[in-house]
Amino acid sequence: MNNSRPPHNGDQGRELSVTADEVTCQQFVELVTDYFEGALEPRTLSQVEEHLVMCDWCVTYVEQMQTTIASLQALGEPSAPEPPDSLLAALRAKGGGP
Amino acid sequence: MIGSHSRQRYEIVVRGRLSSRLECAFDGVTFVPRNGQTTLSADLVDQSQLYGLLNRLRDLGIDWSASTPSQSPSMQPEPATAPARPAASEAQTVSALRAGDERIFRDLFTRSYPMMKRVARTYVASDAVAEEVVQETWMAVVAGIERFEGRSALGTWIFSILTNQAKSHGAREKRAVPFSSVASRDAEEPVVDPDRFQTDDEAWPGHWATPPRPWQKPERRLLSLEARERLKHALAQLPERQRLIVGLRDVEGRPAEEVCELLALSQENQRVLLHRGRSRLRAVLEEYVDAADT
Repeated sequence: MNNSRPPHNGDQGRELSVTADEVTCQQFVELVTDYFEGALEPRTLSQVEEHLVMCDWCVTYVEQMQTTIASLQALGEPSAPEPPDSLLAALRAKGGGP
Repeated sequence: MIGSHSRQRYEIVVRGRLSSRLECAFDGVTFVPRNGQTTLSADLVDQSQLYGLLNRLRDLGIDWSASTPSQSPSMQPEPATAPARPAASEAQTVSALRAGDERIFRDLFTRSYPMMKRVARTYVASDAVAEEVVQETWMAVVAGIERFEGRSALGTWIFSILTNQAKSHGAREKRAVPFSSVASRDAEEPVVDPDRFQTDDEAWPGHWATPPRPWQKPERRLLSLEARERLKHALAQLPERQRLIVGLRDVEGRPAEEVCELLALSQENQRVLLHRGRSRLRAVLEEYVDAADT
């Protein structure tokens, strides 16, 4: 199990660290970012990939995350405003002006 | 189904030969020079990694002409920007600023603005104040550029002026410094309501009880304009550190290494913030989409 995160206790007091052979959906949703970032250890990665082969719902969750990220990308950046006159004046004073 | 979610090999072709020293700066990317071109190969997990890589190349003034995934068409990158003309080296930039070169200044100002505003915003109470902080920072940069000794990178120096300005504004507003609290506290709560999963006395403990439903998308990758407005609003409402990380990584497409270095965050802490921010935004969109469908 990815040992870079602290174990998590859910309502049922269940620890998140995986000792069994499979990853559950509840565990997967906590691992999804590490999965996208390529930060999972090999064993956990293969457990995650096996889970995704079998679990259409978690695949849907992955798609929702991808859509969320793509939509964030599409928000685009506010373009920078025009630098204020005072700033340009201070700059121009350096080189001897336009 | 699984193919589109595991790593995919991307190849990016750039003109000319790239220095092998540059290869060390790109983790997990191999450079293969051939016939006056260099092919960069990388196994990437998703599109945001690809965008991060392409943005880094652009910032370095490297002209890439094609990038191809080896698999699923849904991962096809859409270059959002034309290849940039080569960026000035740092020494050239410093000289240009000292000489009052307006073109170079405007280029730097424009490229850095979104990130600077985003960082400033984590320390102050409004967008308007964040904009003021950025302008004040540039005034200080222009005024102080002769004193810049080059012991740190120019960006680092500018960034430290920015954070100092932001903190002093924030102190006037009596706000706590956002990165002073320990990031691990963020790791405690589950990102999906535990009620959504089956309990130990049900058939499949830990599996979905109320699974996510696929979203209808009017466009190939994106939700409706209205949903995206909702997303924009939700982003602005995120706790400030999550908002900053999601903004830098996902909205701006900056790579993880750059964000970690800029903010002096470990990769792990950065991922925790990214995870919480993205998960919360997904949940907001899910709520929105489910409500819109009923």
